[in-house]
Amino acid sequence: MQLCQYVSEGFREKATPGLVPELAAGPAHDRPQTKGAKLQVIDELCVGCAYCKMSCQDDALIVVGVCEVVLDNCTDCLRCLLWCPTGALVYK
Amino acid sequence: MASMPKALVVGSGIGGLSTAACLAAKGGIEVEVLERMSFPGGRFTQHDHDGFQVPTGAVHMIPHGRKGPMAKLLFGPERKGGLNLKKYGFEFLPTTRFAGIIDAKGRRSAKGPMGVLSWFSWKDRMRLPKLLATRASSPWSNDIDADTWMRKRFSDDFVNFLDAFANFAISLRFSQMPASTVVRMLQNSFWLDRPSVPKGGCKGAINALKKDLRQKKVKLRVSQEVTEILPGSAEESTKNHRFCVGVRRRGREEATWIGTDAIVWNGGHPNLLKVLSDDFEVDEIVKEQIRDTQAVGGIGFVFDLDEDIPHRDSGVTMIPNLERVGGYVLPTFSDPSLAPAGRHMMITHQYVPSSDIQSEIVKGREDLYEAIPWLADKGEEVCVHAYHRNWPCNRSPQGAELPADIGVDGIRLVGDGIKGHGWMMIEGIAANVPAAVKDTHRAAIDFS
Repeated sequence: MQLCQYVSEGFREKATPGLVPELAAGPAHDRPQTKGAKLQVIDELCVGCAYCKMSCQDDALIVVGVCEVVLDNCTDCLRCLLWCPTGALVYK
Repeated sequence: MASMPKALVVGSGIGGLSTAACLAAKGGIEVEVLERMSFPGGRFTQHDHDGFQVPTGAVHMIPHGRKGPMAKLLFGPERKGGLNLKKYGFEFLPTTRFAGIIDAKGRRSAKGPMGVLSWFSWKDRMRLPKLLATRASSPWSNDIDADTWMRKRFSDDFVNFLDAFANFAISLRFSQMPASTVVRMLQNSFWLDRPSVPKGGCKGAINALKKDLRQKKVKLRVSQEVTEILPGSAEESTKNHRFCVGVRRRGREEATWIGTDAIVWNGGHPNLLKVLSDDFEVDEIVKEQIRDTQAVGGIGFVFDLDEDIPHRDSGVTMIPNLERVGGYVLPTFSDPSLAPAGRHMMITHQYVPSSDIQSEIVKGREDLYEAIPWLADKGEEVCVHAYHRNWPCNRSPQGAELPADIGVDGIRLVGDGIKGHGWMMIEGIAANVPAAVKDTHRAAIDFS
């Protein structure tokens, strides 16, 4: 949760659809901060808009109707969480 | 010192941003825009995906090009309520053809509406003037469905072509729309300009609006969710304003309060009803109309195409008689910057008649490979977008005619949920903006 807030603040008023700007803190946010936490999809909330796929730079998301996470590729950068319009992506 | 009256714009889709810019241009009030997502533009922007500018919803198309309501709003002179965005280098690039068709005779395209008519029977051509002269500037009291109305007057081939256009453009079939809506839409398409592609894609328009807002000192804040709208007297800090608006930064628990004298809501009717406190009375009939209006779904594929594809223009191509897909467009023939050098981008669209979104996608893909013979060799799927359930938050089917004013003084709706009668897609959004600006400005000034 703390990490989400940190990333959110880093992007505040900077994030635009297109290339996501690097955080001032560098790549540290790309590493999992909470042991065992991983990116998950709440199927009931996912609308298949693919915004998360567009924001992902690691090919960690597949979207065909609903979103699926390729955990092997996910670097826990959490960019997708900021782009999801419905809150269907969670990190827990 | 007395502060300036304030208008708050909630939602930074193209409707919200353009209304905010127009309000600021009128002067005398402070304007602020709040956006729930981490980026502005809503469905009228794009993501960069390996050099392909993938739209978030719109298909990089302005239906009535340089003569429609959107052109009037974005490029009109400031003294007439326009925004003159050309000063920022933004413009509309006309499609290289008016429209195309793929049918049993292969693919053909036409420069204008008369060229399209030449594909159909003499009977259709003779009957068109009557359709163009039919009064449809407002909904008919004895409206019937457009499919029945049209098939009584025109050949199946002609109706199927137009039906495919409706499927592509507004995710609805003729059988799902009132006849007066379709007649008005066709009249607008016939008399106005061929479609255009916004320079730089949808985001080109959003970037120009952002520059304009910055110049007019309008604050645009992203990742800010409106949680509640209360009377201004609800909080000490907002008691001199008409409204007290709860705003929460995304990911945080607690809300802060903002005072405002007028609200432009660009977040859809259902969401407005959710945040509006019981202190404001909304007519039961309006509530019922909103509850009973089911937003339509849509599915769009984006393909990466080789440079040497046989299709060489950016006009919208209709594919009648397919099970799901209505048509496609290749905006890169008008603006090559929307794809990497030497590549083209194709965007398709289809309606969604069932809730099984995955099977709808499979059907759409089958349609496309069957109808476009070169697609398998020359194209590769970049992504597939779906729109269903509660996203986008601000949409209603063409012809639903939801009210822009729900009867609460100082609140006005804009966006895809309130399209003017017979104006499709973004043109419908633009058609509603001038009245929203006028009402909101007056409401803010009157209260103070």
